Amino acid sequence: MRLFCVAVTIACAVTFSITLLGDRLERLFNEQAKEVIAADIALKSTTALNDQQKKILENISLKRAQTLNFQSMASVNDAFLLSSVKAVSNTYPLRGKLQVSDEVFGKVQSISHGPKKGEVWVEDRVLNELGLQLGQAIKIGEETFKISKVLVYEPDRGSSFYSFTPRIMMNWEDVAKTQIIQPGSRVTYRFLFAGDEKNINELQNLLLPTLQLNQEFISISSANQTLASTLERAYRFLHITALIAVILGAVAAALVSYQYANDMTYQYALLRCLGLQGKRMVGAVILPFIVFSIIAVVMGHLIGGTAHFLILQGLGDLIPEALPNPSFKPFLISTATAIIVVASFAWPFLKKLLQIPPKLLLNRVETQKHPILFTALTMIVGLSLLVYLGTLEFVISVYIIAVLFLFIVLAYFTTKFVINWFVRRSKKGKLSNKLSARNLNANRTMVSIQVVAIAITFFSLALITTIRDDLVASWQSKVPEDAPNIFAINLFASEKDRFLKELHQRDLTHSPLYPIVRGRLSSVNGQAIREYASKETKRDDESLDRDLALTWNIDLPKDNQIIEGEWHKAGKDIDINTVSVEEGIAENLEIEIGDILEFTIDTNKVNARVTSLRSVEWESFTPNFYMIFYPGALEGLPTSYIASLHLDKDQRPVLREFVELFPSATFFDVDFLLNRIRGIAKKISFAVEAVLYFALIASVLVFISIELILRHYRTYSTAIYKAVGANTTLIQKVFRIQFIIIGLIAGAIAYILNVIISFSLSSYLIEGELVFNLKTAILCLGIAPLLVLVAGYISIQRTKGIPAKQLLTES
Amino acid sequence: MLSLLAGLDVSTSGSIELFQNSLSNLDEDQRAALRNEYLGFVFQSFHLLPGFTALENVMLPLEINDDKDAEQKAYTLLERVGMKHRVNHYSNTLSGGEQQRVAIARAFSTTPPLLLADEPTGNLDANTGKKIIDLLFELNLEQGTALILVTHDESLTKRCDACFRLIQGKLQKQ
Repeated sequence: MRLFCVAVTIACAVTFSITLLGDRLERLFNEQAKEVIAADIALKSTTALNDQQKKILENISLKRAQTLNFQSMASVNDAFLLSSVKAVSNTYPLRGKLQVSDEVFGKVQSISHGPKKGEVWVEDRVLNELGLQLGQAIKIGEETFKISKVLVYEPDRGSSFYSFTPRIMMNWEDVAKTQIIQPGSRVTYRFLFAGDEKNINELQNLLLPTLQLNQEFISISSANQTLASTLERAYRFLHITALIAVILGAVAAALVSYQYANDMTYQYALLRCLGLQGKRMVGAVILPFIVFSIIAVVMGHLIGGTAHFLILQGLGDLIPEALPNPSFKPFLISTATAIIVVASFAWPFLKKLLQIPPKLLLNRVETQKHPILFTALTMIVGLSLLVYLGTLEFVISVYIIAVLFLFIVLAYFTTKFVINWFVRRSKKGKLSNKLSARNLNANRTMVSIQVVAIAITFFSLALITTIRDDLVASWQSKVPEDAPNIFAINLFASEKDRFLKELHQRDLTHSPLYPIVRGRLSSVNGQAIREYASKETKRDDESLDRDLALTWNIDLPKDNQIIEGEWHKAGKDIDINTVSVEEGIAENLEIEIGDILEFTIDTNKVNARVTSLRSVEWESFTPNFYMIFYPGALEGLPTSYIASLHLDKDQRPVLREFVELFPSATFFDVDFLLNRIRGIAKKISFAVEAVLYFALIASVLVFISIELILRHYRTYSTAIYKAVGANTTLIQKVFRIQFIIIGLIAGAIAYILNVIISFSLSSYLIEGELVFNLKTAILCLGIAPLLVLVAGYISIQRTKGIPAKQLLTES
Repeated sequence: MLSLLAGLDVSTSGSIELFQNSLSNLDEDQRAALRNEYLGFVFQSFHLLPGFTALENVMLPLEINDDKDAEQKAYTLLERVGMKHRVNHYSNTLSGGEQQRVAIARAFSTTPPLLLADEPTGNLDANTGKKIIDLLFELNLEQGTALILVTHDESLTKRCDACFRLIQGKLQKQ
């Protein structure tokens, strides 16, 4: 019973610590993700809220803030600059912090409120282009403001961080004074909310029916954040790994219970003989079982909690000091897991103790058949529950259960087939082979279970390794150490060559220089955009509100992929300009191959036929474009250039030199964004590693329990071999051959399934393309058989030199 | 005591001479070789290998002895102990009496000069026990084996040539 207790304890501890860690990290990531919209949820609207909506808001207790975005000319004396103004209320931002500085490219400080009344914070570009200093005045609309800080970062700026118009942030209460906002002005309101999840949900439910066409909710998941897909895959990975650990724990509990039931058979037969029956017999079997289960659950939570604490200690400064408090969920899940493990994996074996015939005591021959169907059914139900608890997704649960079922069937029949083959093959061979074959055959069922358990263990480890490598690789590829961290825009055509020369002189890595022509999409297939993308047609894209960066390129940029149509080719006879469109905007505006798009550039109009749709990796930190024309289409139109480059920490002074060398150009720094992404990636990597270790612990536990079961048989047969005159060399050889065969079958099955599953899971968990993975091959086909051999070898070493009589007593 | 005699156990003091060998001077493997050559052993609780057939159990000592006719000899012996119809049955599916027959066949398989039987009927009912004892004595006569038998059954002692009683650790000839 001690071993049973240990198994359930470990299953419970593993679940608890993983779900606890997962839960808290998930909450942490969520908190961080909320920064992207500076709130828990935001309502975007082009008009102010109506009375009905205001009334709804009055009754819900939530923290609130609001922002208003509009384009306006900022001016100083005779210099004008089109800028993107954002007016923020005093409570903004609700989540995350603003970053500001007291000088251009100076020391950055975090701050949790916007500018005071009468002041504005501006991006360095504003100062550059208008030749201003901090402390000087700037006019926006009819009002003059004092520039009090350089605005470096706003959490909810999103992916448009290098838009053309530089940001000016002002206080909400100053908007009226500027007299810019008139009925019909093109503005975007964002109403931000933060607070209890319950109240947020209530808000959403109440407001949803009142939303106009120009209003929509922006939740964390709908916010187009850089890490959304990566985070999602990381959560799934955490859950699946946790689930694997739990299943391994359950397998261990089942194995240990099986052995316990066997060990206790005679003891309970004795109780039967002594007249124990009915409820008292049930009590005698169940009571210790319940007591030990409770002890296991308590111990499991204590150990799991301690392990969680130790992991956090080990994480050091990787995890922020204030990790969100855990919810009650991990506790519930681990308790439920323990109950399921006990009820469906341990109980079926222990149940037979209830029906033990007392005559067992007399002839000590067990004629009682194990209720295989009942056991299998209970386990399948338990397994399904565990899988569902682990994933909380129905489809994926069905998939996992199907995989496990396939696994068991495959393992069982392969084992049977190999054993039969080996038995036939060894008939005329060496005695050691012959005896090994007979031994394997004698324990067919146990060997199959062993193969399944070992194969699942190594399959899981291999799968986890594959996914982990893929996750880490995809993060690293997204934000490599030398990822561009500076964007240079507004370079004149005349400065292009000089700029490249300066870059080369300093040996800086940079992206190609892309030409940019600023223009708006004005019609689609001859239909004016205002009609084409109206409220009635329900076509809309945020890019319609601003100038688009139009570019041309003969080559498809790196990280771009054609998903429909054909990339324009050099030398092709072209009757009309052609353009390649980014898939997102194409989808939002229902643009298809062959459509004719018209762009307005200043007073010029350019028409182009859509020849391809492209996917773009927005997270790649290189210049990306919605529209890429065939070279020549935009000839003669006002063109500037953009490039991204990488500066190491010690190369930062170069930035000041560049600002002086190219006064018209604007440089901005996205290091903080990169660091934020790196920070999150690092934390997830750690979490991924941590759960990997838990899965490893669970695997070791399965190994130990299998070993405990088989030790009994091994000791017994060793004793008999010795009694009838076999020497140690022969006995050890017989077992060694068995270990190698078991290890090889299990390893091969693990490997084959790993390959199949990795491929079929690719869209779910894996981003990169799967190629032959040497690591998993070595793990399954090398390490697995070797470990089985070593573990087995250690256990048979134990019987060396011990007299047969003593071994018989032990077994 | 039988375990000590068979070298299945080692004595803490004193010495045992068996076929010109002092058991205490032999290591585990040497004792096993000695058992294979000179000894047969019948246990109270049979000790067959579960999952091995009756035939495989009987063949085991012969195979260890590199006997080329192991299968044939084992088959003949099983036939002799009345187990012909169950040679290919797994030992854990046999009844107690049947298991002990197989165990006896195994003990006689290498035609050892000495056979040790440790309460061979201890786990069997009286009727089955009697049949097993008859079989043991018959085979003993046929093969000319020296049989050392430990029993609590007084009536059984009458069938033996010599009888010793173990009282408080001392052997007394009756």
